[in-house]
Amino acid sequence: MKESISININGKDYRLEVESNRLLVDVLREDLGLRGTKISCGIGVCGACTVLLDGKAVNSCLVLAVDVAGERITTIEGLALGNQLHPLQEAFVDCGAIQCGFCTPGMILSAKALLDENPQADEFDIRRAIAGNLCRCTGYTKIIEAIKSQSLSE
Amino acid sequence: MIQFDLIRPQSIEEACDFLNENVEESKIKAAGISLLILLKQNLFRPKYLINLEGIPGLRYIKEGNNGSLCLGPLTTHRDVETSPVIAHNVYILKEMVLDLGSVQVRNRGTVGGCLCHSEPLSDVPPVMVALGGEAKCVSVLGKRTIPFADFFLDYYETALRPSEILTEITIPKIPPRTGCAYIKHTLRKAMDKPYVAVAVYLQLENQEPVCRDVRVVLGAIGPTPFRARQVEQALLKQRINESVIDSAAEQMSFDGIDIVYDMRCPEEYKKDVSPVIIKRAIKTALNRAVAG
Repeated sequence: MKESISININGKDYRLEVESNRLLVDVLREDLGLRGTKISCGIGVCGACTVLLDGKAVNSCLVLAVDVAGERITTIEGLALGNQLHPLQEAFVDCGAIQCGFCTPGMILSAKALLDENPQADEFDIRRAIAGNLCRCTGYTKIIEAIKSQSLSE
Repeated sequence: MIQFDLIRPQSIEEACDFLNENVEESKIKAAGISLLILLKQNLFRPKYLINLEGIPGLRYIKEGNNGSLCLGPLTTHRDVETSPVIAHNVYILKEMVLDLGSVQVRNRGTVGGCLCHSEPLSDVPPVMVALGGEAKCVSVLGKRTIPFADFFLDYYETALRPSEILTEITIPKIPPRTGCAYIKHTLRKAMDKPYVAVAVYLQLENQEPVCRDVRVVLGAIGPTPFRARQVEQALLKQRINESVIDSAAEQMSFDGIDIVYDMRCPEEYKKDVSPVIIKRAIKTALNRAVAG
């Protein structure tokens, strides 16, 4: 069943025709060419598909696109302003928190959701916030360091 | 993924009517995170998904009659996690949900959806049984209330009739001198389902640390949560102390329990670890009961 929906993605309004059974992650990647959001486990445990739905981190592989009609979505592409990286992105680069980069978009968005809600997040808060984002490369240490560097907590 | 028609009722009545007319081919959908996993695996192919998310008034946490707690079925796990009312009045719910899934899962997953899914390794069902909670349900035939003690029939099977919809979860007020605790035994520090889960509700007499009422509920072992009756019998009317707890936990029996297949560990592991987790949970509940 095809439906016509409006979604706001990274500040821009889109009008899309999608089948009811399309997943948000597939619509982002295939219909809109926003391939920063990754598909990995497909069952909501790895977090590679993390996007922000009205500022809250969700697994887009388990969201029907039609379910987010009228909502605001933020993908990793929405963080930089032109060539100017978002401070979280800079921090990940500066701290060496990126190896293969596959987990990075989801990781950064989870971090952004955390810090937007709790600017003084401490290490415990950070670890809890990224518990749903798996990284096979880094061992998480530098990722936590990068996020901590953007937290206002001492 | 399979094709389906997404139905968007504007009210529970409308949802019940449609469900009743298309009961063989329909499935109720909340956020659908567990549902979508099953659909992706082609485990069943409903023609209609009845989306409850658009119906107003199904997502709430409020006080009901006699100090009870009422949750709408579309209350998310994240709502439970961040609720000051729950933190203060039914802390075991927060304790349980803190370690449920991830932020991403908790932002979407609903309490109602999780309960109706009735998965053996789920955290929510044993806590609802321990709290003596009840499920309010509605269909074209009318309303009824099912205690959670009778709600979970088998893995992925509940006492809900095919044409029924869960519309509210109620939890009776926890009396004074009562401590509740939930311990989820996992090997990982996060993102793990329990190997053994124990939810305890322990009510003491007014003056003495004598057990007036107790529920010890085990999850992640049988296909549904079950009460460890032998453990409870060994605690009732006893003056509770560490040695009584240790001895009661050893009464744990798995006779008649069909231990659910868990690819992460053999049955023997669950059996060996259970008394340990039971002891810890009862001790924690006792400390909370005494603290008031």
